[in-house]
Amino acid sequence: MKDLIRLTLNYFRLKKYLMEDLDYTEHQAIRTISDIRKMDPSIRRAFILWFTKGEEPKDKLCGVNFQNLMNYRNLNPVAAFLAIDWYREDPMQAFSVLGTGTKDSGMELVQGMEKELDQILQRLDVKKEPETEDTRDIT
Amino acid sequence: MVDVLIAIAYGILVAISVSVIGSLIDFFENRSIFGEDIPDTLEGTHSDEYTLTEIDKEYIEASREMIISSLGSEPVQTILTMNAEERIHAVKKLVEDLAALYELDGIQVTLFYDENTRILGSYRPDSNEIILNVVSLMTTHPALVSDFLDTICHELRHAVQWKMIVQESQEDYRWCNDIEHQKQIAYGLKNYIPFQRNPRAYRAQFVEMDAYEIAAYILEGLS
Repeated sequence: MKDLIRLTLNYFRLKKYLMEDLDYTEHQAIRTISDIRKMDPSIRRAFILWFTKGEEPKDKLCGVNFQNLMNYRNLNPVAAFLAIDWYREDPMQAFSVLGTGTKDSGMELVQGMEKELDQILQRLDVKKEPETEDTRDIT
Repeated sequence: MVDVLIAIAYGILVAISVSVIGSLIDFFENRSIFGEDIPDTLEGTHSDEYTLTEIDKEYIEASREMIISSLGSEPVQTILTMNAEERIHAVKKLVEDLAALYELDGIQVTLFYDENTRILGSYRPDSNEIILNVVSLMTTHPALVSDFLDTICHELRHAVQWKMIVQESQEDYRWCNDIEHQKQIAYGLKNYIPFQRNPRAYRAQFVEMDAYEIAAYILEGLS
Protein backbone atom coordinates (compact mmCIF):
# COMPACT_ATOMS: atom_id res chain seq x y z
CA MET A 1 0.00 0.00 0.00
CA LYS A 2 2.88 2.31 0.94
CA ASP A 3 4.40 1.97 -2.56
CA LEU A 4 1.20 3.22 -4.13
CA ILE A 5 1.43 6.58 -2.39
CA ARG A 6 2.84 9.17 -4.74
CA LEU A 7 5.71 11.05 -3.15
CA THR A 8 6.79 14.47 -4.30
CA LEU A 9 9.57 16.78 -3.28
CA ASN A 10 9.64 20.49 -3.92
CA TYR A 11 12.60 21.51 -6.09
CA PHE A 12 13.30 24.78 -4.29
CA ARG A 13 13.17 23.16 -0.87
CA LEU A 14 15.78 20.62 -1.90
CA LYS A 15 17.97 23.22 -3.60
CA LYS A 16 17.82 25.40 -0.48
CA TYR A 17 18.78 22.42 1.68
CA LEU A 18 21.76 21.57 -0.51
CA MET A 19 23.03 25.14 -0.63
CA GLU A 20 22.30 26.25 2.92
CA ASP A 21 22.66 23.08 4.96
CA LEU A 22 25.26 21.20 2.96
CA ASP A 23 27.10 24.20 1.51
CA TYR A 24 26.77 23.19 -2.16
CA THR A 25 27.38 25.90 -4.74
CA GLU A 26 24.43 26.68 -6.99
CA HIS A 27 26.06 24.78 -9.84
CA GLN A 28 26.62 21.73 -7.61
CA ALA A 29 23.04 21.88 -6.34
CA ILE A 30 21.49 22.13 -9.82
CA ARG A 31 23.66 19.30 -11.13
CA THR A 32 22.92 17.12 -8.11
CA ILE A 33 19.15 17.58 -8.36
CA SER A 34 19.35 16.77 -12.05
CA ASP A 35 21.14 13.52 -11.13
CA ILE A 36 18.52 12.75 -8.47
CA ARG A 37 15.82 13.00 -11.15
CA LYS A 38 17.69 10.37 -13.18
CA MET A 39 17.95 7.89 -10.29
CA ASP A 40 16.36 4.48 -10.45
CA PRO A 41 12.75 4.98 -9.20
CA SER A 42 13.24 2.74 -6.16
CA ILE A 43 16.29 4.71 -5.01
CA ARG A 44 14.63 8.03 -5.76
CA ARG A 45 11.64 6.98 -3.71
CA ALA A 46 13.92 6.04 -0.80
CA PHE A 47 15.64 9.40 -1.18
CA ILE A 48 12.34 11.32 -1.03
CA LEU A 49 11.25 9.30 2.00
CA TRP A 50 14.51 10.14 3.72
CA PHE A 51 14.27 13.82 2.82
CA THR A 52 10.61 14.37 3.63
CA LYS A 53 10.10 11.96 6.55
CA GLY A 54 13.62 11.33 7.82
CA GLU A 55 13.30 7.60 7.12
CA GLU A 56 16.70 6.12 6.42
CA PRO A 57 16.84 2.97 4.30
CA LYS A 58 16.54 -0.03 6.59
CA ASP A 59 18.90 -2.87 5.85
CA LYS A 60 20.34 -2.52 2.34
CA LEU A 61 19.39 -0.43 -0.65
CA CYS A 62 20.15 -2.19 -3.95
CA GLY A 63 22.57 -4.40 -1.99
CA VAL A 64 24.49 -1.46 -0.48
CA ASN A 65 24.56 -0.59 3.20
CA PHE A 66 23.57 3.09 3.24
CA GLN A 67 24.87 3.85 6.71
CA ASN A 68 28.24 2.16 6.21
CA LEU A 69 28.68 3.88 2.86
CA MET A 70 28.26 7.25 4.56
CA ASN A 71 30.47 6.35 7.48
CA TYR A 72 33.36 4.76 5.62
CA ARG A 73 33.42 7.11 2.63
CA ASN A 74 32.61 10.31 4.45
CA LEU A 75 29.60 10.99 2.22
CA ASN A 76 26.58 13.07 3.16
CA PRO A 77 23.21 11.27 2.74
CA VAL A 78 22.47 12.90 -0.63
CA ALA A 79 25.83 11.82 -2.01
CA ALA A 80 25.30 8.33 -0.57
CA PHE A 81 22.00 7.89 -2.45
CA LEU A 82 23.70 9.06 -5.65
CA ALA A 83 26.59 6.68 -5.06
CA ILE A 84 24.22 3.74 -4.61
CA ASP A 85 22.47 4.60 -7.87
CA TRP A 86 25.83 4.79 -9.65
CA TYR A 87 26.92 1.42 -8.22
CA ARG A 88 23.62 -0.14 -9.29
CA GLU A 89 24.02 1.10 -12.87
CA ASP A 90 27.77 0.75 -13.43
CA PRO A 91 29.30 -1.37 -10.64
CA MET A 92 32.77 -1.69 -12.16
CA GLN A 93 33.27 2.01 -12.78
CA ALA A 94 31.66 3.01 -9.51
CA PHE A 95 33.64 0.49 -7.49
CA SER A 96 36.92 1.72 -9.00
CA VAL A 97 36.20 5.04 -7.26
CA LEU A 98 33.96 4.11 -4.32
CA GLY A 99 36.01 1.02 -3.46
CA THR A 100 38.99 2.99 -2.17
CA GLY A 101 39.13 6.61 -1.19
CA THR A 102 39.33 10.05 -2.64
CA LYS A 103 41.99 11.45 -4.87
CA ASP A 104 41.73 15.20 -5.13
CA SER A 105 40.14 16.90 -2.22
CA GLY A 106 42.56 19.72 -2.97
CA MET A 107 41.29 20.31 -6.48
CA GLU A 108 38.35 22.07 -4.98
CA LEU A 109 39.97 25.44 -5.30
CA VAL A 110 40.56 27.38 -2.15
CA GLN A 111 38.74 30.69 -2.05
CA GLY A 112 41.92 32.70 -2.52
CA MET A 113 42.33 31.28 -6.00
CA GLU A 114 38.97 32.39 -7.36
CA LYS A 115 40.41 35.64 -8.64
CA GLU A 116 43.32 33.92 -10.37
CA LEU A 117 40.97 31.41 -11.96
CA ASP A 118 38.64 34.17 -13.15
CA GLN A 119 41.60 35.86 -14.84
CA ILE A 120 42.52 32.60 -16.55
CA LEU A 121 38.93 32.15 -17.75
CA GLN A 122 38.97 35.67 -19.15
CA ARG A 123 42.32 35.16 -20.91
CA LEU A 124 41.13 31.88 -22.44
CA ASP A 125 37.86 33.57 -23.41
CA VAL A 126 35.75 30.95 -21.66
CA LYS A 127 32.09 31.92 -21.85
CA LYS A 128 29.89 31.13 -18.88
CA GLU A 129 27.39 28.56 -20.04
CA PRO A 130 23.85 29.35 -18.90
CA GLU A 131 22.67 26.89 -16.27
CA THR A 132 19.52 25.06 -17.34
CA GLU A 133 17.33 24.54 -14.33
CA ASP A 134 14.36 22.19 -14.19
CA THR A 135 12.31 23.49 -11.28
CA ARG A 136 9.51 20.90 -11.40
CA ASP A 137 8.83 18.86 -8.28
CA ILE A 138 10.83 15.66 -7.94
CA THR A 139 8.58 12.61 -7.99
CA MET B 1 63.72 20.98 -8.79
CA VAL B 2 61.18 18.76 -7.10
CA ASP B 3 60.95 19.07 -3.37
CA VAL B 4 59.81 15.81 -1.82
CA LEU B 5 58.94 15.94 1.83
CA ILE B 6 58.17 12.96 3.97
CA ALA B 7 55.73 14.33 6.43
CA ILE B 8 56.24 11.76 9.10
CA ALA B 9 59.27 10.82 11.09
CA TYR B 10 61.43 8.77 8.78
CA GLY B 11 62.41 6.32 11.49
CA ILE B 12 58.77 5.57 12.24
CA LEU B 13 58.01 4.93 8.59
CA VAL B 14 60.91 2.57 8.17
CA ALA B 15 59.76 0.73 11.28
CA ILE B 16 56.32 0.10 9.78
CA SER B 17 56.28 -3.47 8.71
CA VAL B 18 54.59 -4.12 5.43
CA SER B 19 51.00 -4.90 6.31
CA VAL B 20 49.56 -8.24 5.41
CA ILE B 21 46.11 -7.74 4.05
CA GLY B 22 43.88 -10.68 3.44
CA SER B 23 41.74 -8.97 0.94
CA LEU B 24 41.27 -5.67 -0.78
CA ILE B 25 37.63 -5.95 0.18
CA ASP B 26 38.41 -6.01 3.89
CA PHE B 27 40.99 -3.26 3.72
CA PHE B 28 38.56 -0.57 2.64
CA GLU B 29 35.59 -1.95 4.60
CA ASN B 30 34.02 -2.82 1.26
CA ARG B 31 32.39 -5.99 2.46
CA SER B 32 30.44 -4.08 5.09
CA ILE B 33 29.34 -1.55 2.47
CA PHE B 34 28.73 -3.56 -0.68
CA GLY B 35 28.25 -7.08 0.65
CA GLU B 36 29.99 -10.23 -0.59
CA ASP B 37 29.49 -10.09 -4.32
CA ILE B 38 32.00 -7.46 -5.36
CA PRO B 39 35.08 -7.50 -7.58
CA ASP B 40 38.47 -7.78 -5.89
CA THR B 41 39.91 -5.24 -8.29
CA LEU B 42 40.01 -1.50 -8.60
CA GLU B 43 40.42 -1.28 -12.34
CA GLY B 44 37.89 1.06 -13.86
CA THR B 45 36.70 1.00 -17.41
CA HIS B 46 37.71 3.57 -19.99
CA SER B 47 35.05 6.09 -20.84
CA ASP B 48 33.83 6.37 -24.41
CA GLU B 49 33.49 10.10 -23.88
CA TYR B 50 37.24 10.60 -23.55
CA THR B 51 39.35 10.92 -26.71
CA LEU B 52 43.12 11.02 -26.53
CA THR B 53 44.94 13.76 -28.42
CA GLU B 54 48.30 13.15 -30.09
CA ILE B 55 49.95 15.02 -27.23
CA ASP B 56 48.12 12.78 -24.73
CA LYS B 57 49.43 9.69 -26.52
CA GLU B 58 52.96 11.03 -26.42
CA TYR B 59 52.51 11.90 -22.73
CA ILE B 60 51.27 8.41 -21.94
CA GLU B 61 54.09 6.72 -23.81
CA ALA B 62 56.79 8.91 -22.22
CA SER B 63 55.29 8.27 -18.77
CA ARG B 64 55.21 4.51 -19.31
CA GLU B 65 58.84 4.54 -20.43
CA MET B 66 59.78 6.50 -17.33
CA ILE B 67 58.01 4.04 -15.02
CA ILE B 68 59.56 1.06 -16.78
CA SER B 69 63.03 2.59 -16.58
CA SER B 70 62.53 3.20 -12.84
CA LEU B 71 60.77 0.02 -11.77
CA GLY B 72 60.88 -2.36 -14.72
CA SER B 73 58.06 -3.67 -16.88
CA GLU B 74 56.33 -5.15 -13.83
CA PRO B 75 56.47 -2.19 -11.43
CA VAL B 76 53.91 -3.55 -8.98
CA GLN B 77 55.78 -6.85 -8.66
CA THR B 78 59.05 -4.94 -8.25
CA ILE B 79 57.61 -2.87 -5.40
CA LEU B 80 56.18 -5.96 -3.72
CA THR B 81 59.72 -7.37 -3.38
CA MET B 82 60.92 -4.23 -1.54
CA ASN B 83 60.87 -3.41 2.15
CA ALA B 84 59.18 -0.22 3.41
CA GLU B 85 62.29 1.96 3.19
CA GLU B 86 63.07 0.81 -0.33
CA ARG B 87 59.48 1.52 -1.40
CA ILE B 88 59.68 5.09 -0.16
CA HIS B 89 62.98 5.64 -1.95
CA ALA B 90 61.63 4.12 -5.16
CA VAL B 91 58.47 6.21 -5.10
CA LYS B 92 60.35 9.40 -4.26
CA LYS B 93 62.64 8.80 -7.25
CA LEU B 94 59.72 7.96 -9.53
CA VAL B 95 57.80 11.11 -8.60
CA GLU B 96 60.93 13.23 -9.12
CA ASP B 97 61.55 11.69 -12.53
CA LEU B 98 57.94 12.06 -13.68
CA ALA B 99 57.74 15.64 -12.39
CA ALA B 100 60.91 16.45 -14.34
CA LEU B 101 59.43 14.84 -17.45
CA TYR B 102 56.29 16.97 -17.07
CA GLU B 103 58.41 20.11 -16.44
CA LEU B 104 56.72 20.70 -13.09
CA ASP B 105 59.33 23.02 -11.64
CA GLY B 106 58.97 23.84 -7.97
CA ILE B 107 56.29 21.27 -7.24
CA GLN B 108 56.28 20.02 -3.68
CA VAL B 109 55.40 16.41 -2.90
CA THR B 110 54.39 15.40 0.60
CA LEU B 111 54.10 11.76 1.62
CA PHE B 112 52.17 10.73 4.70
CA TYR B 113 50.88 7.53 6.26
CA ASP B 114 47.38 7.41 7.68
CA GLU B 115 45.27 4.26 7.80
CA ASN B 116 42.22 6.10 9.08
CA THR B 117 41.73 8.70 6.38
CA ARG B 118 40.27 7.78 3.04
CA ILE B 119 42.21 10.51 1.29
CA LEU B 120 44.62 8.75 -1.03
CA GLY B 121 46.04 11.83 -2.64
CA SER B 122 45.37 15.36 -3.70
CA TYR B 123 46.84 18.25 -5.66
CA ARG B 124 46.62 21.77 -4.32
CA PRO B 125 47.10 24.40 -6.99
CA ASP B 126 47.41 27.17 -4.41
CA SER B 127 50.58 25.68 -2.94
CA ASN B 128 51.55 23.65 -6.03
CA GLU B 129 51.70 20.61 -3.81
CA ILE B 130 50.95 16.92 -4.29
CA ILE B 131 50.02 15.01 -1.17
CA LEU B 132 50.14 11.19 -1.22
CA ASN B 133 49.00 8.76 1.44
CA VAL B 134 51.46 5.86 1.30
CA VAL B 135 49.17 3.47 3.15
CA SER B 136 48.34 1.56 -0.07
CA LEU B 137 52.02 1.42 -0.98
CA MET B 138 52.82 -0.30 2.30
CA THR B 139 50.75 -3.39 1.63
CA THR B 140 51.28 -6.79 0.08
CA HIS B 141 48.20 -6.46 -2.10
CA PRO B 142 49.03 -5.93 -5.82
CA ALA B 143 45.79 -4.05 -6.51
CA LEU B 144 46.51 -1.56 -3.75
CA VAL B 145 50.11 -0.99 -4.83
CA SER B 146 48.85 -0.55 -8.38
CA ASP B 147 46.26 1.92 -7.11
CA PHE B 148 49.02 3.87 -5.38
CA LEU B 149 50.91 4.16 -8.69
CA ASP B 150 47.63 5.23 -10.28
CA THR B 151 47.27 7.94 -7.63
CA ILE B 152 50.76 9.26 -8.43
CA CYS B 153 49.91 9.49 -12.15
CA HIS B 154 46.49 10.97 -11.34
CA GLU B 155 47.75 13.75 -9.06
CA LEU B 156 50.66 14.62 -11.33
CA ARG B 157 48.15 14.94 -14.16
CA HIS B 158 46.25 17.52 -12.12
CA ALA B 159 49.49 19.45 -11.70
CA VAL B 160 49.99 19.26 -15.47
CA GLN B 161 46.39 20.44 -16.04
CA TRP B 162 47.00 23.44 -13.83
CA LYS B 163 50.25 24.24 -15.65
CA MET B 164 48.41 23.98 -18.99
CA ILE B 165 46.03 26.77 -18.06
CA VAL B 166 48.38 29.12 -16.21
CA GLN B 167 50.75 29.23 -19.18
CA GLU B 168 50.43 32.51 -21.05
CA SER B 169 51.24 30.82 -24.32
CA GLN B 170 50.40 27.34 -25.48
CA GLU B 171 53.80 26.98 -27.12
CA ASP B 172 55.49 27.49 -23.77
CA TYR B 173 54.58 24.04 -22.52
CA ARG B 174 55.33 20.76 -24.27
CA TRP B 175 52.38 18.88 -22.74
CA CYS B 176 49.80 21.55 -23.40
CA ASN B 177 46.82 20.39 -25.38
CA ASP B 178 44.81 22.69 -27.64
CA ILE B 179 42.85 25.72 -26.52
CA GLU B 180 39.56 23.81 -26.25
CA HIS B 181 41.19 21.38 -23.85
CA GLN B 182 42.50 24.30 -21.79
CA LYS B 183 39.06 25.87 -21.73
CA GLN B 184 37.50 22.62 -20.52
CA ILE B 185 40.02 22.41 -17.68
CA ALA B 186 39.52 26.04 -16.62
CA TYR B 187 35.73 25.81 -16.81
CA GLY B 188 35.81 22.49 -14.97
CA LEU B 189 37.87 23.89 -12.13
CA LYS B 190 35.57 26.86 -11.80
CA ASN B 191 32.61 24.46 -11.46
CA TYR B 192 34.40 21.66 -9.64
CA ILE B 193 32.24 18.99 -7.95
CA PRO B 194 33.97 17.23 -5.02
CA PHE B 195 33.65 13.49 -4.48
CA GLN B 196 31.90 14.00 -1.13
CA ARG B 197 29.03 15.94 -2.73
CA ASN B 198 28.26 13.84 -5.79
CA PRO B 199 30.63 10.91 -6.48
CA ARG B 200 29.35 10.15 -9.96
CA ALA B 201 29.44 13.75 -11.15
CA TYR B 202 32.91 14.04 -9.60
CA ARG B 203 34.16 11.14 -11.72
CA ALA B 204 32.40 12.38 -14.87
CA GLN B 205 33.68 16.00 -14.82
CA PHE B 206 36.38 16.74 -17.36
CA VAL B 207 39.31 17.42 -15.03
CA GLU B 208 38.74 14.14 -13.22
CA MET B 209 37.90 12.10 -16.30
CA ASP B 210 41.14 13.32 -17.88
CA ALA B 211 43.19 12.42 -14.78
CA TYR B 212 41.55 9.00 -14.31
CA GLU B 213 41.77 8.05 -17.97
CA ILE B 214 45.34 9.22 -18.52
CA ALA B 215 46.53 7.43 -15.37
CA ALA B 216 44.76 4.23 -16.45
CA TYR B 217 46.33 4.37 -19.92
CA ILE B 218 49.78 4.94 -18.45
CA LEU B 219 49.52 1.89 -16.20
CA GLU B 220 47.65 -0.36 -18.62
CA GLY B 221 49.35 -3.76 -18.72
CA LEU B 222 52.01 -2.78 -16.17
CA SER B 223 51.40 -5.34 -13.45
